[in-house]
Amino acid sequence: MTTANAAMFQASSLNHRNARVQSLYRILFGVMTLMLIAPVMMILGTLIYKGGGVISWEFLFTAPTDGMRTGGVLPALLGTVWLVTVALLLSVPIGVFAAIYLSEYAGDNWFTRIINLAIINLAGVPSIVHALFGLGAFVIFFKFGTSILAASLTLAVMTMPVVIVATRESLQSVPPAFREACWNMGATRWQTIRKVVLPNSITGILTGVILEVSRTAGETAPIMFTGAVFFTPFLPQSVFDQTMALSLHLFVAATQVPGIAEEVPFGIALVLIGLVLLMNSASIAFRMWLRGKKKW
Amino acid sequence: MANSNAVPGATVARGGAGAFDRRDFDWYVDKAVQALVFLCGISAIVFVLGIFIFVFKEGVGFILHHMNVREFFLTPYWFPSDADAPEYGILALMAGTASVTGLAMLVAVPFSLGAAIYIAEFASGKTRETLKVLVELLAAIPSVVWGFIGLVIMNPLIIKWFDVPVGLCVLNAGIILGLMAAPIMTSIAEDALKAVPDRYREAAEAMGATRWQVTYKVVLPAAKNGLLGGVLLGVGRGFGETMAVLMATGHAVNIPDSVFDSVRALTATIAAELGETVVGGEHYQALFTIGILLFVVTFTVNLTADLIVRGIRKG
Amino acid sequence: MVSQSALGRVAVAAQEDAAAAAPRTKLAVKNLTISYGKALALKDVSLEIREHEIFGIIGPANAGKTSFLKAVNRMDMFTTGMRVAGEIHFNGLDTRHLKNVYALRSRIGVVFPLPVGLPMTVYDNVALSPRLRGIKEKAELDVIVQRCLTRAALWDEVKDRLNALGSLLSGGQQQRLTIARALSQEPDLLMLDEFSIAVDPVTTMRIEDVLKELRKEVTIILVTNLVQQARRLADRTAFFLNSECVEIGVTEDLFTGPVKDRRTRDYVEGRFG
Repeated sequence: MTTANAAMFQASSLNHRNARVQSLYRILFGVMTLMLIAPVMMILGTLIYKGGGVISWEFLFTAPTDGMRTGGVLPALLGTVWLVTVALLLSVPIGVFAAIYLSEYAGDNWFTRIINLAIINLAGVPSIVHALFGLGAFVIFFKFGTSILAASLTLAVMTMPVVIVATRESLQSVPPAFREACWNMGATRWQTIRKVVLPNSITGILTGVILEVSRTAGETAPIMFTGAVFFTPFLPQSVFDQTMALSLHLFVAATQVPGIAEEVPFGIALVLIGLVLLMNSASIAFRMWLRGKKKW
Repeated sequence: MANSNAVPGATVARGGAGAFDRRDFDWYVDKAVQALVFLCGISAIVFVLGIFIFVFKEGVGFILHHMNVREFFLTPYWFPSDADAPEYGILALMAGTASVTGLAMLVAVPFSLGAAIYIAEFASGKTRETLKVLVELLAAIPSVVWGFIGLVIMNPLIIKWFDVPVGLCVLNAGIILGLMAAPIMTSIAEDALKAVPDRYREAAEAMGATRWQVTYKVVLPAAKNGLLGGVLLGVGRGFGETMAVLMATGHAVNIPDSVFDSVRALTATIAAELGETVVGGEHYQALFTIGILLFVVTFTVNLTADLIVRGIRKG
Repeated sequence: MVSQSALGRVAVAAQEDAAAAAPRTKLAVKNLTISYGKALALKDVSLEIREHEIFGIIGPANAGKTSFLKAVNRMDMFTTGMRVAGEIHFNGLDTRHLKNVYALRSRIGVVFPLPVGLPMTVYDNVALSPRLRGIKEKAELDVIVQRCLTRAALWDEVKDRLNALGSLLSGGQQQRLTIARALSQEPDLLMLDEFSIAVDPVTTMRIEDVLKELRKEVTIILVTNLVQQARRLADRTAFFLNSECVEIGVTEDLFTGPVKDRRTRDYVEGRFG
């Protein structure tokens, strides 16, 4: 220590060595980061290269033909829209209220901790177990059959943590002083939430909802046995119908259809990934725009 | 209370000065919302319990009537559709899940920790923001797309590079799963590193330490539990992954000798076979029993991760 | 049973006669003790605040002044770990056992030292409380907003930008906005906690003038670290020190008259604190 102090202001050999080690590690970790990202970029590039040619309005807006070997993805695309919409209608209100409870009402105690643990578990239970739950509970026990309703309920339970976590974060970013100022004036807890907390976190909540859309659209396992089917010539008319879905359609096209034109599954994958990444980017862009807007 | 009961007559005489203490509409709305919000708050608990109850309900028949614990866990023979003597041994399936998850962690843990350190400690400004967005987008790619990539891109590559007959194997699924889990682990690890207060870094840097010395000696030890928690959550993710392993493993019941062997995972078995079973039948119940096993294991992993991460915050 | 309730009525009537003779009590505090976990914030304070007086509370930091206000306003409900023992009667009502504490708070306006402009327009800031009371008429709200902003010495500065965000005003403006919001409650009791911290001296004097006028309508508790401010405004003043109420008396007595405790004189003459 004393020698180090004495040499503090000189460019000692120790300092040189440290600087070399420093830049070595910087490069090492930089390369590791690149190696995580580069392969994925190459894979995405391949997808676009092989599937890009097939994407057209016709591909998006016609039904599969010739036993799914050729044609478009319309029923699957519509089915995914149905599934995501119904799932969101169910999970967003419950998720937002649950987050309001956790952020605005719950104390710091064991009970809150159990709720948090349940949320972590809901997000962590394998998707195939959610599928088993959906089958046992919604299809069989509640007698919804294999239907959009059963599949969407399963998806709703599975992706609710996304809404809860995003909403809670958004609510907690509103400074407590605003709540206290409101309470001081005689506002009830709910009036305070409605007049001050929600208006200032609604955009953050929306960000979470968009993120949930992206998560829900990509799920496959939970809908396999609860409402999505390999092929149906009919477009869904109500929540009690079965439907095709983009994610399952990709699985089917890639594994179950012999003699399929090679570029078709690439096209489906591209549509699915495009949908998901578009939603995700929107959510991220929204968040960054929010950060730039200063309200206090 | 007695006091407020005695006052009403008097308050009228005083011109209503104390007459405000009534429960009005807003008061009742507030109470109603509180009840509603509480119900939604506990819904997560209800759902987790519901998952356990319904999966258990469908699978319990197998556990009670057909399951031989030794045979179930210790034999590698999974022939559920044999009409005369179906066999339910999940050893090979467990070996498949374990080998793929293990390899995935070998790929993902070092790289995601390295990436997290780079993003949190070395990168700055625009670079950091860009990398964070990229990592977030990578985490969003659906698992069925990953499975597709394993099937049509990795498969021919492995056949070509390693000169093996089949490219759907532990290596393929392990790499795919590793790439899948890495972004999630990177963001959790980065959060853990960011949670270390800046004054620790400043104190160490004031003594003349380099960035790496600060990271190695100060930040990493302080973030240890958060990082471990992140790794555990990644293990849970890999263990429970379904579509990608279904498509990339080759789906052959087999205890692997090398990374080029095809295997079959617990999750993929359910996904592949449930559609063919008779509701309430023995095979159907056996698949739900695997579901119970998956639930219990992931529950334990998540609980442990939570305890580890929270342990440090209390201390 | 019958005779007892009759007795009760007689007792109430007797109280009212007494109340009519002397100045009415707005706030009666008996044996108030406040603690946060093991830390004691206020010990065994008893005092009475009369209708239409300005009641000053002076004392150094951490004397328990702010905790006192929080207890009166029942904000202990929202403050984790805050425990309140003793009795507080507001307009003769026991505030520890209320059916609707929100109604109590809407009757009491508070201004805490840190200015808080809510993240909504200046207009909405001031109109919030009237709207919560159910006032919807635009014209009526306009009148209230202008009156409250004028009284808080803010109207001239913001009358052209009532649609600006209240949370983006300057610190001093936010402080006056907070005062305007408290006034918009049309409170029965107004409590100001070191309101002049974020305000320049000229504005402070303007607000002090408003307070002198307001006492005709409301009772005011003025917590201040400026001894001279208490001397200028307060009819009676209490001196809090180390979680205790050391002295209560007519304000001028604290400065020139006889005091019970030497420390009171030492504090007002600036020898510590």
